[in-house]
Amino acid sequence: MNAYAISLSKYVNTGIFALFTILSYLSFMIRKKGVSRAVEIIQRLLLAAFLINANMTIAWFVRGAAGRKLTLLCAMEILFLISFMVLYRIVHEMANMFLFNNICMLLSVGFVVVSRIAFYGSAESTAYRGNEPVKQFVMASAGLMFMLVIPFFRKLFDSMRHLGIVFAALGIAALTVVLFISPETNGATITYTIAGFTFQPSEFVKILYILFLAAMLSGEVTVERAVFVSILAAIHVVVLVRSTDLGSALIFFVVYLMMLFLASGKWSVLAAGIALGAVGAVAGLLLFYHVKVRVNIWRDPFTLIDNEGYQIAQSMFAISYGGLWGTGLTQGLPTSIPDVESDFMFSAITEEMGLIFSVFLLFLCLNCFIRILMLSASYSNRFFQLYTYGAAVCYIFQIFLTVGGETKFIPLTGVTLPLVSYGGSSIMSTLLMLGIVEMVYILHEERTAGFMQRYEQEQLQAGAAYAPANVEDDSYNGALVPLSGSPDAYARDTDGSDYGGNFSRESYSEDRKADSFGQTHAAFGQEYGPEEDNFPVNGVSEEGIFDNDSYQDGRLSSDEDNKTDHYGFYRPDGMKK
Amino acid sequence: MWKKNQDMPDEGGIRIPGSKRFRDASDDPGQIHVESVKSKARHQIVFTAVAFVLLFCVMAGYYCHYAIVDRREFFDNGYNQRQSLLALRNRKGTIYSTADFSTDYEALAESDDENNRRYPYGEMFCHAVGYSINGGGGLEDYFRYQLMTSDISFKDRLRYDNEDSLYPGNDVYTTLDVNLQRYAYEALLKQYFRGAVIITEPSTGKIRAMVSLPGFDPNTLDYIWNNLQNDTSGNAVLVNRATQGSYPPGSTFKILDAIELLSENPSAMEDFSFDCDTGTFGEGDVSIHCFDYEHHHEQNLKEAFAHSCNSAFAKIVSEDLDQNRFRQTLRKMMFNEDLPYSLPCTDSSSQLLEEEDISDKELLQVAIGQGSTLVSPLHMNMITMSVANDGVLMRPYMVDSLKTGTGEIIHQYTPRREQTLMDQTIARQVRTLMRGVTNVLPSDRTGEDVWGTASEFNGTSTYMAYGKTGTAEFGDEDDSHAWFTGFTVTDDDREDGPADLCITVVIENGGVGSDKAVPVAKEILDRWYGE
Repeated sequence: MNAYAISLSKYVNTGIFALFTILSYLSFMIRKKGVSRAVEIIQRLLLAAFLINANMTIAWFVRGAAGRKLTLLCAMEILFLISFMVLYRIVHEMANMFLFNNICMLLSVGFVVVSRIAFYGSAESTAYRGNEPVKQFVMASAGLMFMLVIPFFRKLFDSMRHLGIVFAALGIAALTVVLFISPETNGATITYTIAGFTFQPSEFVKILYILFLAAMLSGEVTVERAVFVSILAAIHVVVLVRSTDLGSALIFFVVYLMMLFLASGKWSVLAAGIALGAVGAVAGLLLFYHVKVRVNIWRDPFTLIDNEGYQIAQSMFAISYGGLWGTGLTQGLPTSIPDVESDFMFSAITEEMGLIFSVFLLFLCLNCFIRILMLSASYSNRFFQLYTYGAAVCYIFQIFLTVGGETKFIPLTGVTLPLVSYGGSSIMSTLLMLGIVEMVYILHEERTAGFMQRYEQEQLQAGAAYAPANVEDDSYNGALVPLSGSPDAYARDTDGSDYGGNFSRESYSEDRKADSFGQTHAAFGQEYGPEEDNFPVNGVSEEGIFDNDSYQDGRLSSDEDNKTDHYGFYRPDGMKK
Repeated sequence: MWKKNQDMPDEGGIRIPGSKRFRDASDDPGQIHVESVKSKARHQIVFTAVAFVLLFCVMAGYYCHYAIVDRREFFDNGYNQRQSLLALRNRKGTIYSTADFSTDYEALAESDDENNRRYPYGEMFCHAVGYSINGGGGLEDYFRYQLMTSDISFKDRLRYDNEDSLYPGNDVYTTLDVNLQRYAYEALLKQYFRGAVIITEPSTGKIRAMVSLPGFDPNTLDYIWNNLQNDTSGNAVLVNRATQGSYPPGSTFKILDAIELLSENPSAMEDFSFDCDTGTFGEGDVSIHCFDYEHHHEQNLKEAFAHSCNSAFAKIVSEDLDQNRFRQTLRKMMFNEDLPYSLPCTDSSSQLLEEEDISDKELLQVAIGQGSTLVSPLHMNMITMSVANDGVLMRPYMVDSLKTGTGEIIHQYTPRREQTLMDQTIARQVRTLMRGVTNVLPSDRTGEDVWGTASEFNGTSTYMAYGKTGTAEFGDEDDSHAWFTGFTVTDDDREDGPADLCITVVIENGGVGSDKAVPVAKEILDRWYGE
C-alpha cells in the first residue's frame, strides 16, 4: 500500500484526469444523445475515482484522526458532487452538463490539493489543520447550490438588460467601500471580514461588471454609448488600481476590451485597446513602485531570491521538481511556497501531480472556456451572447494571469486559480458567474424548444393554408395541445421517425458538421432523432421569429415583456425523459 | 455600429420550405436549407478562442521546458529545500571506482541507513569524488540529484517497503581506478608538495586517476570547514588543482610550438637545425638563455625538443612561425576557450591570444611557456591525449555509468570524439619528438646518444614512455613549477602502437621538471605496469 501510495497513485491520478479531459473534448463530436449521456456518467465515475484515489493517498500518509477526518470529507465530497451532478441533470434537463461536469472536476482538484496542504502539514510541522478543506467544501457546496437555484429565476434575466447602469453603480459602490474600509493585506486593500468570513468584493463585482457591460452593449453600439460604457468601466479599473488590486484591474480591463470588441465587431477596437493597455502597463511601471518590483522579480527572480523573488523562485523549484508524473501526493514540498493555497495552487498541483497533469488541467480549463464561447456563438440574442462571452473571457484570463504568474511566464499579479484555489469568495463568485452562464443557456434552449414545437405544428397544418397570423395567435401559447385532425401525425413526428416527408436529414447533418459549434441543442435529440442533436435554431431566430432581438422589431408582438410567457415553459411530451 | 437588416439577413439561417416567410429564399422547395451561420460575432469569438488556446500552449511549453531542462539546476539551488526531503525517503547512492584491473568495484563514498556519508579512502579521492556539504564539489556535487533519487523498479520498492528500509539511491560508477589513484596519491604525497596528477585513457577519454594536493579528509570536512575558510596559507585545499589549477606551462608549451612548426613546415623534422653554441638566443635585453645556461650546440628539431632547448624554440617562434597562424592554432587547442569537460574547470589563457601587439621580448617568453600564459593540468593532459591518439581528442569523462541501487543501468556514458586538434602526420611526428625526451637515443644526424630531459624512463621494459618536461618559473627566479606530461604505449614492438595511458604531473613550486615531476610520473607508471 505504501508503495502504491508513493509510486502508482500518481499515474492513476494523471490517467483519470487525462481521460476526463479527453472525454470533455471528445464530447464536442458526440451527435447521439445516448452516447452523450453515457459519457456524462463515465465522467461522474472518473470524478469519484479521482477523489477516492487522491484523497486515500493523502489519508494513507496522514493516518490517525486526521486521516479519518479526511476519509469522511472525501466521502462527503463525492456524495455532494455526484448528487449535484445528477440533480442538475434532473432539475435542468436542458443544461449543458459537460460544462457542469468540468466545473465539478476542477473543484475536486482544488479539494484534493487544499486537503493535502492542510492535512499533510506544512514544512514546519505536521500539525493537525483540517479546517481549510472543510471551509472550501462548504463554500463549493453553497456555490453549487446557487448554481442549481439560479436557473429558476431565468425569466428575470431578460429584464436585466435594462439595468446596466444599476449594475455599474452597485459595482463601483462596492469597490469604493472596500477601498475605504478594508485593512491592507499583502499590500493590497481588497478584502473585508464579515462574521468570520473574509470577503473579497472584487470577485463578486466581476459578475455585476459583466452584466453591466452586456446590458449596456447589447443595444446598438453608438459612439456615445461606447464612450459612456468606457467611462463607467474605467471607473471600475481606476478604483481597483487605487486599491492596488492590479490583477483584478487587469481582468476588468481585458473583459471590457473584449466585450466592446465583440459588441462593436471592430478589430480596430481590439487594436486600440491593446495599445491602450500597453500604455497603461508602461505608466503603471513608472508610477507604481510595486509594479516595478513585480517586473524586476519577473525578469530575474534568482538574484532577488532573498527577498521579493523568494516566492516565485520557490514556485519554479516546485514546478520543476515533480517531473512529468509528479512526486505523488504528499511527496513534494509545496508548502515551501508562501501563500501556496491561494496564489500558487498551480505550482503545488504541478509539483505533486506532474507536468502532464498540469497541462491537462490547463486544457480542461480551456475546454470550459471553449464550451462557453460556443454557447455564446450560438446565441442571436445580443445580451445573452455578450454576457456569456464576457464570462468566458473573465474566466480564462484570470487563469492565464495566475498560471502565467506562477510559472514566471508573465509578472505575478496574485489572483486565484478559479474553482481550484482556496478561497470562498473566489469559488463562490466563479460558480455564480458560471451558474448564470448555464441559466442563459437553459433559457435559450427553452425558447428554441418552444420554437421547434411551433414549427412542427406549422408543418402539421402545412397541408392546409399556412397563415402567418397564426404566429401571433395566442392559441399557440401555453400548454399546447397537439392540434386536432392529425394526432397520429404528431405522434409520428415526436418519436423522430419521420419528419413529414419534407425533411432532408443528410443535407442537414452535413451542414451541422461544417458548423462545429455543436452540442448546444442536446435537448432536441430525443425529439428529432439523433442526427438533429445540434439543430441550428439560432439561425431561425435571426429571422425574427421568437428571440429577444426579434421581438424588438415588433413582428411578433410589440410588447417585449410578455415574450417569455409567450414561449416560456411549454415542453412537448417527447422532450421529457 | 452594427445593425441588422431584416430584409437581407446577413447572418444566415434556416430556410423552411412551406413557410411563407422563407418561401422566396428557398432554392429548392423540397428541402430545408441551413446556411452555416457566419456572423461577424462568430469571427470574433473564434478569434478569442484561438488566441487563448495558442497563448496557453505557449505558456505550457514555456514552463514545461524549464521544468525539464533546468530541473537539476533548480534542485541544486541552495534555497530549494527539497534535498532534505529526499533524504527522508532514499538512502543516498554510492560512488564506485574500478579496482583490480576493472574486475571489481570499490566504494569511494557511501551512506548508511541514517544517510550518514562515509568516504572509505579519505583524502585520496577527496577532490575527484568531492563533498556534498556547504555547496559541494566534485562528483558528489555534480551527481547530487541522481545520488539522492531512487529509480529502482516498483517490485524492488515493495521489497524495501517490507523491510521497512530506505530505498537505495542511484549509484555512480566512475572510470577512476583505486590502484592507479593510490599510486598517484602516494607518489605525489612523498614529495609533499602542492601539486596534481591526472591520468587518462587517450583512446576513450576516461579519467583513470585524479589527485590534487594538499587534500582534506571529507569524513571530517564538517569540523574543519571553518578553519579551511579562514586559511590564508595559500594551500587552498578545497581547490582541485588538476582541473582548476592554472600554471604557466613552461617547456611543455614547446609541444605547441612543435605542432605549429610542423604544420607550417611539414619537412621541419629534417630541415630544421639550430646552433645553440652560446646557449642564448637574441641580443641584450631581448634575449633568452637555455636552462642552466647549457650549450646545446648544433641540433635538429628532435634533439632540440629532447634537450628542451629554449634558444631553439625561441628562434622557432620568433622567426619561423606565422604569428597569426599560431594564434589560430592556439585557439583550436582550446586556449581562451571553454574546455570540453562537464565538471568545473579553469580555462587556459594564452598571452599570445590576449595581447594583440606583443613585443619581441614577450614573444620569446611565450615560446618557452613563460610570461602570462596559463594552463591547467587537465588542459595540458588533453593536448597530450590528442597527440597520443593521432590528433583526435576524446572528451575526458569521469563517470562510466549511472545505475539504480539494484544494478540496472540508467545511463551508460560512452567515449565521445570531441574534435581533431591536429593532423595525424603531425601527431605522429610530435610523438617521435616526445619519444626522444624520455629516452637516450642515437641522433639521426651524428649518431651520438641524445639524453632527453626525462631519460629516467629509458629502458623501461613493460611500457614505453613518451613525454615532455617543463620547468615553469614564476615570481622570483628560483621558484618554479615542475611539469611532466606524457603517455605510454604498452605494445612492446611498436613505437607507434596505440597509447595506453596519458599522464600529466604538476608539482607546485617543486623545482625542475626533470628532477621532481618525472620521478613522480615514473613511480606511478612503474607500479601500475609492474616494472
